[in-house]
Amino acid sequence: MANLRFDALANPSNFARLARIIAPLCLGFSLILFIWGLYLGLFASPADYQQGDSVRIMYVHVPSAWLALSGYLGLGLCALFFIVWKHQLADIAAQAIMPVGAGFALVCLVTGSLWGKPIWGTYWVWDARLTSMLVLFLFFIGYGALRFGFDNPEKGAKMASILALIGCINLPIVKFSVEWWHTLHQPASILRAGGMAIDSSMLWPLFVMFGAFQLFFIWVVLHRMLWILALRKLERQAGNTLPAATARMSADTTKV
Amino acid sequence: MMALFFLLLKREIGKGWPLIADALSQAAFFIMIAVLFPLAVGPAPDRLAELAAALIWIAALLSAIPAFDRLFIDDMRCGWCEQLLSYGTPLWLYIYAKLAGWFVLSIIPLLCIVPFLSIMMGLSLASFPILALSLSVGGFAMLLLGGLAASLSMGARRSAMLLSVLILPLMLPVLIFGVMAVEASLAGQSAWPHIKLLSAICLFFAVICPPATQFALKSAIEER
Repeated sequence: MANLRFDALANPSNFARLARIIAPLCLGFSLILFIWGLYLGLFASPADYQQGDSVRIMYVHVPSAWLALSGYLGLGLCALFFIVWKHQLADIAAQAIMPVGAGFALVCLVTGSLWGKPIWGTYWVWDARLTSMLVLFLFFIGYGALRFGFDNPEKGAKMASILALIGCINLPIVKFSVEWWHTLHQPASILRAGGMAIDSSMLWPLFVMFGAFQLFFIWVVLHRMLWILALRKLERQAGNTLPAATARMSADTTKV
Repeated sequence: MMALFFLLLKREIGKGWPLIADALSQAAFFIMIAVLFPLAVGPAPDRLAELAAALIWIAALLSAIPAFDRLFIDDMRCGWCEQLLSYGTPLWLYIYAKLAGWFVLSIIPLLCIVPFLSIMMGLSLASFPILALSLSVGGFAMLLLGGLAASLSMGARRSAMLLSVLILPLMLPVLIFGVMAVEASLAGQSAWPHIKLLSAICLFFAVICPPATQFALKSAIEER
């Protein structure tokens, strides 16, 4: 095991072989954890003494916030790898993460505002956590807009990677916004100095849902990476240029 | 190094005078956005005075951004950037000269209009120096981000729109502290904490943006 070589995975066909094994496993475990987590979250965990049953939104809200943040971190890392080592798989991974991360950011914002209505009495406040999360969502969109804004996709990939790196300065702002500014949003209760501030009866369903969401995220991203790899291979075989591929890709998505 | 910088700056400003029509249309756009708010919000003077700083900031931001997509494209087309590279001139020096030139040609005209607008909005004249200061510091931050966004989106379809999507999220902290500085001075408090934070953000951008801009310009040159 000691001389396990990760760089072998940098070869796209090796990567694809492994991804085809891992992706279904992720989906399977994700579904199992999801059902278990839903049972724990909806039936086996207590209602909050102040918030009542609305606290159960947490089991969707917190994991999606976590994935939006770590998804952007992943995007930034992929961008760095792509800029420094110009490795195609890093670019493909970034392209695969972009819509998934944007989706989780949106889920986080929507569930957060649905939770806010009964608890805070309003769907939205302009506090630092909510605004910085919205900005994170806009960064995902901006990355996508720049990525596909060029007729030459290679140029788009390079320029969008620079943007993704610059956008990483938003990550600490989102994470620490609840501590730097006294906001309506509650401060962190899990990853914080001084230990966790949440009862184990609520922590368990949260962790199970974390696992389910994380595995689901990995499944979608791997699946999308395989899809993008196949698409690029197909275009190479057909001897077509990449612009034609993206044009066809966007034509396909509009058809659906 | 300094002499080279001033040489480059002189070129930028000298080249700017034929672009006076652009500056005029930008100024007109600025005034136009500022006119829209009283008509939409209603002309009640006390309400306008409350919003004035924010409105002027937003108008300045929106009117400055569309011009950015012309920032590097002419120099790129005529081969000026390539020539600088082949002479061994550091591109970041060129970028700073470009932005400084742009500051003179595009931000200073806006600053000249601001006093008139603040009178029309009923902003107290005492807080005008703070507004001008916050706008010029914030304007420099906007230029740094604008340069980055311009180099990233150069050659894209609909680059002007893309540019605003890229700049505005990063501009939010600048906008917040810029407006808060003016509001603090209106409320009789010291505006300096906000101005200092604004300057800190501006300096942060001054460190991270030019290298990224340089990288984007270089890779755009390589692709030609």
